[in-house]
Amino acid sequence: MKRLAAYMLSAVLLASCVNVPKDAGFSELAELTAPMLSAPAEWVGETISEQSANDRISALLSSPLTEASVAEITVLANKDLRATLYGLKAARGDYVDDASLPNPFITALFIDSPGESEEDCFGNLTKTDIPIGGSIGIGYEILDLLFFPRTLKAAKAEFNAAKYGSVRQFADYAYKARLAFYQAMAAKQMVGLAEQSYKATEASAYSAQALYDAGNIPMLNVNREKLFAAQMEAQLIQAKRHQKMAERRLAQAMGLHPEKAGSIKLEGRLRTPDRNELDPLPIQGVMDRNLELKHRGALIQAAGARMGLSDVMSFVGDVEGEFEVERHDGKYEYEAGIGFELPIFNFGQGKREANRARMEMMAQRYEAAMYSLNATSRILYDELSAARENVLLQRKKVLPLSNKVLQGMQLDYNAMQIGVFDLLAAKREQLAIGIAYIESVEDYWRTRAAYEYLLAGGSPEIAMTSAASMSAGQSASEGDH
Amino acid sequence: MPSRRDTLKIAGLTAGAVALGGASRTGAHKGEHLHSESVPHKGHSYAPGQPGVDYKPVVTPDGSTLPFKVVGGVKVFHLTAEEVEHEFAPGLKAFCWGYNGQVHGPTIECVEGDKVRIYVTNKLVAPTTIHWHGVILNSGMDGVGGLNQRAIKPGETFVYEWTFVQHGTFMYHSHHDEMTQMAMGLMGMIVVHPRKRTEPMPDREFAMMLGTWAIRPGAKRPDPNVMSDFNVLTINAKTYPGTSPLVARTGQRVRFRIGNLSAMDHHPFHLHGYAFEEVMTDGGVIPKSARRPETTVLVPTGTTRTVELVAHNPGDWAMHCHMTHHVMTQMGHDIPNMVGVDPKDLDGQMASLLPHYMTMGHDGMGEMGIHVESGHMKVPENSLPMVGAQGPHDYITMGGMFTIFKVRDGITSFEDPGWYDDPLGMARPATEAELSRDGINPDTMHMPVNSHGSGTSYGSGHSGHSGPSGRGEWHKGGHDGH
Repeated sequence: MKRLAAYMLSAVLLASCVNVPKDAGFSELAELTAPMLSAPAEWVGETISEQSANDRISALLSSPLTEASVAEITVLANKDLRATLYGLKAARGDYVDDASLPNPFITALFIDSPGESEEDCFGNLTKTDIPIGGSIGIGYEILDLLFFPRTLKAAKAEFNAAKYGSVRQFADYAYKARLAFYQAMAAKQMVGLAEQSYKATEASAYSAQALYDAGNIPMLNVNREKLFAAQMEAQLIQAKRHQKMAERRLAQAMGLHPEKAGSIKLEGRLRTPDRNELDPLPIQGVMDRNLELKHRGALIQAAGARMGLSDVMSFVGDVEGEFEVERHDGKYEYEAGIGFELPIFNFGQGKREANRARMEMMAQRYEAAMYSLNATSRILYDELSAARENVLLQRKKVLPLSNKVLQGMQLDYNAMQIGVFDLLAAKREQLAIGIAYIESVEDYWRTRAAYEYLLAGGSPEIAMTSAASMSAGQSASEGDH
Repeated sequence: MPSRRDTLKIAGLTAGAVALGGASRTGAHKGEHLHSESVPHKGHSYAPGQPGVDYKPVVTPDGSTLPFKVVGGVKVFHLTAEEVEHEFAPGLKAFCWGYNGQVHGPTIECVEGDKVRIYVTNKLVAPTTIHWHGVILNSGMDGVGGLNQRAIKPGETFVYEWTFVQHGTFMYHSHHDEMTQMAMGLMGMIVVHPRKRTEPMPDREFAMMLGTWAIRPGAKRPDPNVMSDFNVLTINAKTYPGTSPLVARTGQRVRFRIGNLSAMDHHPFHLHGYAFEEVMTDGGVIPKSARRPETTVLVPTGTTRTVELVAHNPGDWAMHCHMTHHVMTQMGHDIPNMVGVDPKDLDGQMASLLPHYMTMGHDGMGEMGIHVESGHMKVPENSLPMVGAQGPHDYITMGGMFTIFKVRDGITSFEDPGWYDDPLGMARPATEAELSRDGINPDTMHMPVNSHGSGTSYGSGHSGHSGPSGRGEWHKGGHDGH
């Protein structure tokens, strides 16, 4: 009895010592999201007012977007991210709930009997008064108490899991917005080149018309050039469509209201990667930082903590302790008891086996996720190295050579070795090489975004999905050429 | 009295002679040979001919004559086939194949009856031979690889030996992998003077080899694979303005010995300011009775033609192939025809795409060379503008197979005398007074064509009648068809 009381006391003390973050873990979230955001994480309505957030968004939108401003707008504007933060708040509530000792249950009994009639020796009924009485009992789920430290541990782990989930949401949104930014930039550059290509074919058609007007070629040749120009015009329309779509997707990824999609400003070009070699893949750091692993780890911890209680309950069910004070006949009587299931038929072995299997399943999935992360990291690292090598090669060799070829064609034109149509065809080839270059730069930045997203703790599945879609897009565009 | 068989023989020979256009002079009627002998050779031998004594040496413009030495009464020559970096004209050089460090090879000059021994050293990367084109010799010396001899391997020296039993203008060239080796330049001229002259000795003789090359602008080696689109047309492997002028003194008898070893082209070679006589082919001397005055001689590929004139007309006279694409240099032939195209809007359209673009050819090709020479229109390195060079009065819009025959009074040096200043005057803008005097109105002048398509009289529309002003009336230019 004394031991039980001591245990209860320590549980009470433990409960009172639990430190549940008042900001629902937001500060820690901000710390964890720092590597993946170039702007501090904000919680609109909590750390920054709605008005201030809107003003900041407007200010950022008034200038051409950058990777940093895209991330900041995403943090401030994305309603889904806000929802995530409220989800974190809810998780905190759950944590607070779990971190409190379960309440005992009280039973009170009041006795006010009309008395009993008693027949005396004369046959007369005599009413015997029974004094008012009652009983008070207090009951407690003993197992809840006994396993409170483990419950506490589980609650903390579950809260952490929710927190890592929220951080991952930030990472996901920031990553998707970054990808959308690169797509929009590339699409804008593509339009520029498509416009030039169209101009080149238009000039070709114009030349053909001029030659026809001079009586030098038949109308068939003119129509061929015009047809080509019309095809290029159609490609320009497509390019503009892609640009518009890419800008809308960017607005959507940042969480902007659709009406604000038109206010997006994009300028300049996608940068060429610097010439510094890539740092070696920090594989251990990737594993340590990965939010999915952390999330899974926290869930395993929670499950493990809850498993002890579950095991016992599977055997004896609820164990209920009860203490009761009863006044009877003016006397106090004390009663204490304990109740539990009698494990005659069900010894709980099925439940325990299921618990262990579930734990093992989670552990195996954790390991599978580790392998997946490890493999994905290496794939993306290799992809990034190749994409970087490709874009640098294009920059260093292909573009200058294509310029030299065009210059040579211009000299050939001057030397009357080729005509205006050949010269314009050479210009179009140069523009096609320019388009391939932009594709390679976009490929590089998207791969780099995927890689950095993974380094910062992102999901390998999401990173790989976008990498795969990139490859598919690349193949499709290569096929077009 | 001739027999029936003899009659048939003579008839056959006569028919053959007719079929040959009556070209035979010496020997044909004897049924022996058609080549030209000035002295008998069978059973005779002659001392080696001496330059300055037996003949006046030919001039090979931009080339040279192969030196010889006499060893035991034999003229000994040595040709070395090798790769040579050759300049076609300032601005265009290429790695060609030639002999003795030059392209084409030096002219071999002999006298009929000379016994010659010619050593040929092969310093090329490929086997080669030399064929002595048009020369009458024994089959084993004819130089056709595989047929008459085995090829001369790189590093080997072969010797050819024969006696010239004819005089005339001949050529030599590789006869091994001809397509490649001749396209690379392995050829030269042979001039054999008559041992005994029956006609006046010319005062000036020029040996000229016509050739065609394919050198892509910017490239540095002729392309033997090209079959028809040759773009460097040469006289002695020089293209204008790289060709040196041919200089003669007024009154000199001048002979042009012209050979053609172009891969695929004949050349109607035209001289301005003169009529000349075709006196010889590589087959032999043309009988005087068969000669006729001409201003253009067609030199088919694989032949020589020798023409002669007396330089009576001083001046600067263009001499060129009359195939107009043969007086262009390095022109592409698949370019669109821009003549008549209005360039203004087109240039505007192109400006943003190609800042260095300029519409060309809308008024012809004449100005192309001027644009290039002025430096504002660059062409590929190691290439020439399509046409010409600056002349004394304007830009000469001819290039390629073009040179100038310069005839001057009383000169003693045959170095380039510079441009001719014609004391009789030259074409110039017409004055208003002249136009008025002759009733010419440049703004309304048209020459209508009658319903039969021939030129007809024109009553001058505005002032066609001969009046007191003396302005004449146009007369019918031809028969009106009735």
